[in-house]
Amino acid sequence: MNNRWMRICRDFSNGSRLMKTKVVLSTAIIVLGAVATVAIGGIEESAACHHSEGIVIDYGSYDTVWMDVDFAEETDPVELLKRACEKNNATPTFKDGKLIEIIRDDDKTISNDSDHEWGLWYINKGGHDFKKSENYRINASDYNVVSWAYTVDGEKPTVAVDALGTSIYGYSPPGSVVTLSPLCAEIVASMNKESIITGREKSSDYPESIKNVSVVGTYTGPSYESIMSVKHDIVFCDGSVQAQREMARILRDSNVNSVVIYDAKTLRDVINNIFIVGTVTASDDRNAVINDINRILDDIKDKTRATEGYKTLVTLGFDPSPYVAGKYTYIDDLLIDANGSNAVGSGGWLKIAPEKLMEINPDCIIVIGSSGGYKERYEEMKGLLPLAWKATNAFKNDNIHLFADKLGEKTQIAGPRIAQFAEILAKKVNPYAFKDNTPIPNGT
Amino acid sequence: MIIHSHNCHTDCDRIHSYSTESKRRLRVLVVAGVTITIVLALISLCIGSKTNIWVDDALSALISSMNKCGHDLTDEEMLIYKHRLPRAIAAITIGIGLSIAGAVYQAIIKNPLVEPYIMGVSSGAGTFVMAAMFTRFTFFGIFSVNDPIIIVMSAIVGGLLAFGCTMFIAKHAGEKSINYVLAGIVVGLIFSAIQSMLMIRTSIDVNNAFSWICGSFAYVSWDKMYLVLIPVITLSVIPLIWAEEFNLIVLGDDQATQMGMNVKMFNKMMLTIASILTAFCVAFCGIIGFIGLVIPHISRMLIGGDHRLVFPVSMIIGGSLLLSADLMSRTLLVGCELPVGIITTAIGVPIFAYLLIKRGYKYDKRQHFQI
Repeated sequence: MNNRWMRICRDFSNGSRLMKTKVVLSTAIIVLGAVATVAIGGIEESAACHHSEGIVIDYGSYDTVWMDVDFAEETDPVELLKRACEKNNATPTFKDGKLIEIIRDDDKTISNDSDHEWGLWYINKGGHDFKKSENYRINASDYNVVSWAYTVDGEKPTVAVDALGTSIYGYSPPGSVVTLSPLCAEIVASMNKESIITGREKSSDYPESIKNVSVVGTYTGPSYESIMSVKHDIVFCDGSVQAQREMARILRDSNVNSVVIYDAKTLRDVINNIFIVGTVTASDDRNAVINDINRILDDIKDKTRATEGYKTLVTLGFDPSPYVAGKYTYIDDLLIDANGSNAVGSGGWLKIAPEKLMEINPDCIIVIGSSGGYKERYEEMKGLLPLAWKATNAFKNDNIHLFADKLGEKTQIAGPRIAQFAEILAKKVNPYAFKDNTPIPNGT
Repeated sequence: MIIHSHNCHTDCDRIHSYSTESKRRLRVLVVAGVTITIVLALISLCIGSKTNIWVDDALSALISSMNKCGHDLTDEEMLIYKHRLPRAIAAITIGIGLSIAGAVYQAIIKNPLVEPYIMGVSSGAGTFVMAAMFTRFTFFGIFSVNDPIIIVMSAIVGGLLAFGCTMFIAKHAGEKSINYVLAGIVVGLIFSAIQSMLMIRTSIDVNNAFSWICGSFAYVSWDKMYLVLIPVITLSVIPLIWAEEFNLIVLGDDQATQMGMNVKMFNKMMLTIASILTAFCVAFCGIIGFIGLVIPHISRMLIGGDHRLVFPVSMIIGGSLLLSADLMSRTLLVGCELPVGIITTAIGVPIFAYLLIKRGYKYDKRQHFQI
């Protein structure tokens, strides 16, 4: 026993051999672990993803043409353009080595003018943003996307990559798609492609026909196994949800084509998303849907140009400190289109205090409510409004409007139905601009 | 002095010798635990939310996908190799990591209530990860948005910051055992408030935050696995090497110092390792509570307070419990995923309550860490 006690004391004494061995062993394990992590991280394979080889001709206003090219044969962008034009019965014209005009197969001539110019643009591999090439001597295979684009000064070409920076061109027309958000489902349906939706996110219920489609998870929790269990040529993910971005990466790693649409913050994002889905699904209705939305928005702008709309606040629900739409949101874009103004000066969706609500004192308040029951309780809720709400001009002039149920859905899902929402919103924000303004009852 | 020496003699004797009963129990628990884990892993490979595969098919798909090095896989091989296998490995690894972190905190601070979550470390790591995700932090453009390395580094910085704050407050509050709990709760609340603020400022991401706070293995893939498997296993092995010193520490700092240990340095190193371990786990799969608190308790109830036994048993139970929680999270609701944190609580609480009622009388404060 005494020997044992001596051994224990020796073990625990400062600088003992055992202690030193443990320190050395622990340090060695940590160092080895760190080295192994870095080494494996270095050789880690990136997720396999869709890769397209070809060139884009972008005539502007979301009118684009894509041509597949094997980069083993040709990578000179000028030659690629000539090939693409030849294939599409178009004629490019160069002057002093610069592209100045393309005559299309419909005899429409797209020429440089004081505002517009043809240019060679590219997106670097792994990047999102277009950059203009100083000259035409680039190698197309070095870039993610190369586009001959007809652009207005200061503007960039039509969107060509998804929210994860993958080219949206070069997909085979899909026979089946899975949509992981109501927005994705709605855009696919707007392209008259709802019949190819084989899997949907749980809350997606528009259009009605997709209610019978298999559920493959929730908005924030898509299920890999469920997606893999249905037919899936392409999976559309919503870039506003981190879980869906992650799912897209995992699906691509499993060689499943996945396209991630953008977080639809602005009106441009909304149109870009429609363009992306239309392009990927090779829909003939892509441009018709975009043009319809633009036509309605232009019509609203024309009608409201002469009369100034209300200073408007758009809120989510009747909370004393509500979430409101600020600058750089599609709601803000629609208010500007209706010649109204946003009562909130800050950016994005934000929560404001009751004092702030009184301070900004909106002339009109639009309340968005997605859940059922709002419509029935509207008058009751108006009576129970917090004092800050009652102090606003909007309340005093009975100019608080509720967009609930289906209309609330249109408001919150920034998809193709946004044009209908824009019309109704404009009639509330700028009522005198609409001669045929039939009153829209609250809660519709 | 003689009496003191005698006490040390007895304690140290206990520290250095496994009882025959303990050895037998350890053997039984290790064999049973490893068997259960293997069976659970096999079930995980076979059962899914939509597709179930027979064991022999699953094993042959696993072997063939490994032979193909993960390339040109069939749908079945894809499901097994790309989804179910990495998930199972990740669940076992995180279970091991959180259990060891919890056992280390409880031993060093000598308080059965502390664990990574209570110490505020999980909240700190989670807050920094959330901030990095919401602000799309790229470290001056060096990394891409949401790069796994950015997420892990944010978690480590946040976890260590929270741990530092907890230790600072506890030290200035008198360094009593209860002070660590109170300090951890306060620090955890601060970071929870910051999380709420982040969610309010970026309201559009509330859904993202919620699903992440509850923890999930749904987005595990091989390309990120190296960032959790190697660090977590490496850091979990360290306390095993120092198990005897842990036994000495729970006897009291004075006795440990008399035995020649640099107690302060040892405590600092081990708590830092536990915090980094927690940060890796949080960065990989979000915040999963309960494991770090309860698994060490369950282990001690089953095997006693000897850390040479507590650590390996915690690893086995933690790994298998989280594996079964993950299995349930993806199979309970057809077509949907449940947050794994909810399942760990649902499984763990009844087990813990049962053990507490059944064996609690042997497990009072005085005997808590008794070896």
